Amino acid sequence: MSGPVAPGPEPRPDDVAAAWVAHLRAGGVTPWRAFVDAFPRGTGGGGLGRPVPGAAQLELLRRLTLAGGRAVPARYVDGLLGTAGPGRGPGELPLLWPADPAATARGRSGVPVDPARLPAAELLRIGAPVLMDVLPDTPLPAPPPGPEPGRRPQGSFVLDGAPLTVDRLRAELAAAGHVEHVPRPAWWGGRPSRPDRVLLAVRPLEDLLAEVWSRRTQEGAARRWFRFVDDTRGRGVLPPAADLAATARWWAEQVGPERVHLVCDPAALPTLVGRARTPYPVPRRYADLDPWAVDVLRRHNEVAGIRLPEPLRAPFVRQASALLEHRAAHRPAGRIGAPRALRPWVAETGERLARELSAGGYAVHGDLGVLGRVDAGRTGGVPPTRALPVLLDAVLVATGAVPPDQPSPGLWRPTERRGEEGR
Amino acid sequence: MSERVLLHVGTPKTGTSFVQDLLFQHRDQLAAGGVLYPADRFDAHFLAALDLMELKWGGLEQQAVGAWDRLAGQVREWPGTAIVSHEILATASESRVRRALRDLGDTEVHVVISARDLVRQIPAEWQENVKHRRTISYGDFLDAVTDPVPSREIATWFWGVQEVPAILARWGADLPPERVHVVTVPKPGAPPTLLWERFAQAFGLDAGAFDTSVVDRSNPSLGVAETALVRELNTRLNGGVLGNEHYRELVRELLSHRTLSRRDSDRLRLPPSVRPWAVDLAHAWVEELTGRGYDVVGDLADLLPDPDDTAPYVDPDAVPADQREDVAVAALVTVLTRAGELRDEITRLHGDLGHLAEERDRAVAEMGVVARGKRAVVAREESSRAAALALRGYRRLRGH
Repeated sequence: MSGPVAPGPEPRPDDVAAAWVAHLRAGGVTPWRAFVDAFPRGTGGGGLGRPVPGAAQLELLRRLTLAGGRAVPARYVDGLLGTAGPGRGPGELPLLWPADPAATARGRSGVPVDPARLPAAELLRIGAPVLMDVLPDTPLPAPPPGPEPGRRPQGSFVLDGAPLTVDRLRAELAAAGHVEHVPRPAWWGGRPSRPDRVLLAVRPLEDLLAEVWSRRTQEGAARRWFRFVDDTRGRGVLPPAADLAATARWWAEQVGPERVHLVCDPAALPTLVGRARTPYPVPRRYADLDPWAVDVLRRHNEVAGIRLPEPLRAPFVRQASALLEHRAAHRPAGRIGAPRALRPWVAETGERLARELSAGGYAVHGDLGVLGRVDAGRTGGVPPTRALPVLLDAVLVATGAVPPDQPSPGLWRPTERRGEEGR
Repeated sequence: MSERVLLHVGTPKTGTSFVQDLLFQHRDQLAAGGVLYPADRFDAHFLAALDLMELKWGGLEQQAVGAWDRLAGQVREWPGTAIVSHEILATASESRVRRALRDLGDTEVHVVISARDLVRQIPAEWQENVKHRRTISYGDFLDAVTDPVPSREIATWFWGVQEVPAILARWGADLPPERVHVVTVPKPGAPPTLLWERFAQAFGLDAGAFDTSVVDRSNPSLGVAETALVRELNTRLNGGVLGNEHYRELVRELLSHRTLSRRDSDRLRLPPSVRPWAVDLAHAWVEELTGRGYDVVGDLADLLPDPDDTAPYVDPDAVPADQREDVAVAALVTVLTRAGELRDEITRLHGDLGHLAEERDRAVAEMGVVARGKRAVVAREESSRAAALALRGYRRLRGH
C-alpha cells in the first residue's frame, strides 16, 4: 500500500499567468486570486513565451466578458491586451503573486496588483483607447433622413438659450409643424426679415452648464465636469451659451426687448409658437446623454485629441456619441448637479443672471428664480464606478459581443435601466 | 536603414535640456559627420515622446500628433548613426518600449540613461511639478513618493521617470548589457564640462568639437522660498484664471527661469526624516546596477548621496513671512517691468494701426465713384438678387 501522494512543487507565477491569459481569452471570468488558488500544484508549463499583458488590460477583458455574458470576439482580444493606457498612469502592472508579492515586483514603478482590486479609474484609462479602436466597427442603424431641400416653411419665432433644450425643442416643435423663423434678405438687398418672437429657454444655471458641458464634449472637448465648472468660475465669465443675460441683450438689440420672451416654464410654449403648419423634420444636432455617458465620451475625446489631428477627430466623436446615445435606454438615467464645492458660486451666479434678466424688460413665462436653483440631491461629479459600466457596454456593442438593441446581460438590473422605467 | 541608434531615455533633471539643445544647435555639424539628430525645432524629440506615450501636456500634445512616426521614419532612412533624446521616454511602459524599438527598424540600438543621486532628484522633481502648475505641498509630495505602493499619479510618474534600475529593465530588456550606457551626473563641485564630456563619450562624439557657449537654454533650479512662491501663485492662477500659453511665458520662463532662479537662497533638500530612506534606496540601486554589467560612463558612486552634505533643511511648506515677502516683491518688480514693456508695445501697434487706417482712407478717397459703386454691388452679390443679376450681366458683357 502506497502512502499519501506528496503535493507537487509550487507552480511558477509565469505558468499560472499564462494559463489565466488563456482562460480569459477563451471567455473565462475567474478572478486572478481564485484562479491562482485553484491552480493545481505540480502543473508546469512554458510560460507565455512573451511578456504577460498588464493586470489592468487582463482585468478589463474579464469585466467585458462578465458584462457581455460571452467571450469578447477573438479578433479584438490581441488589440485589447496590447493597449497601453494614455496619460500619466502606470505602465503594464504585474500580477500579484499571493504567496510571494516580491516574486513579480518590478520596483516601485511596477508594484504587483490583484487585478480585481484595481480602481475603476485605471480600467477606464485602459478602456478609453480600446473604445476608440473598436468604434469604426459599431453596427448602428443609419440616422433618419433630414428634410428635403427647398420646401422649408417660414416660421414666426426663433429659439435660443439652453443649448440642448433648444436642440430638442426645435426638433419636437418642427415635427409638430412649428418651424423657426429663418432670416431672409429682402430681394432689393434691404435688412433681413425679423422674427416676431425670440423664445429664450431658461433653465437652472447648473443645468445650463451641464448642457454646455455635454454639447462641448459632443463637439470633441475632453474636460472633466469639475474642471469645466471650476474654470468657468475662475475666469469669471460664463460660456456664451449659458450667459442668458448676454443672449437676451443681443436679441433685444436685433428685434427690440418687447419681442424677447424668457421661457422658464415649457408649458407656455404652445401659446408662443403660433399655429401649426405642415410638419417639417429638423434633425437633432446633439445627443441626449446622461452624465455617465458624457464622462465616457470626454475620456474617448482625450485619446482622440492625442492620437488624431483635429480634422480627423469629428467622425470618431460623432460615432462615439451616437453609440452612447443609442445605448441610453439600457442603462440608468441620471442628472449631474453643480460640484459640491462650487454650489454656492453656481447659486449666486444664477441669482445674478435672474436679476439681470429681470431688469431687461422682457416678457417672462414662469419663474426666473429657477436660474439660481441648485439641486442638492444630485451627484456633483461622475464617479469612475458609474462611468465604467457605460464604457464596457459601449465596447461590447461596438465589438458585436452584444447586439445594439439588447441590454448587456451583466450590467445593471432591469429595474435600473431607463428603458424599463414604468414597465 | 540606420546603422546605429542611440536612445537617450532620461532621466529628468540630469542636464538633458543642455544636451538636447547642444545637439540641436550642432545638427548640421553632426550630420556632416554621419550622425543624425532629427529635429526641425528644439522640442521635436519632446513632441515625439509625447506622441509615443500618448501624453497630454498642456495642449502641446496636439502639435505632437504623428511626431513619433515622423521621427522614427527619419531615423530608419538615415544610413549612419542617429541620436534620439528625451527624458520623458524614461516612463515608457514595456509595450511602448517594444513599439518604439520596432518602429526604429532593424538597427543596433543603444540605450543611454543619465542618472543623478536620488537625494537630489526627489526635491528637484517636486520643484519641476510646481513649475508645471501643480499645487501639491512638499510634505504631500514626499508622502506620495515614499508610499511603498505608489498609488497617486504624481508618485506613479515620479518612479516611472526616476527609478533607474526599472527604467533600464524596460528599455534594455532585449539588449546586451554593453549596449546599455549609464551616464552618471558628477557630484557637486566637479568641473562644469565633465557631464558633457561623459555624454559625448556615451554618444561616441568628440566633446571638444562642440561650442557649448551657444546653449542658453537650461533648466535652472529655484530656491526654497522661490518654489514656495510659484506654488502659491499656482493656487491662485489655476482654474481658468491664466491660460497655459501665458503661464509658460510669464510664470515658468519670465518669473521662474529668468528671475527667481537667479536669486541666492536656501536650496531644496530632503528633510532628515526622509533622507536615510533615500540613501538606502540609492545604495540598493547602485548595487543592482553594478550587477547588471552595463557600460558606466562616469562612476556609479556618483549616484550615492554625499554623506558630508549637512546643510540645514529648510521646509518649503513653512517659509517665514519676511522671506516670502522679499521673493514676492522681486517677482512683482519683474512682472511690472514686463507690463510696462507690453504697454509700450501696444502703444506702438496702435500707432501702426492709425497709420494704416489713414493710408486706407486716402486710397478709398482716390478710388472714384465708379469703383466704389462696383465694390458695393460685389459686396451685396450674396444677399441681393438684383445685385447678383446685375453682376452676372456685367460679367457676361465683359466676357468673363
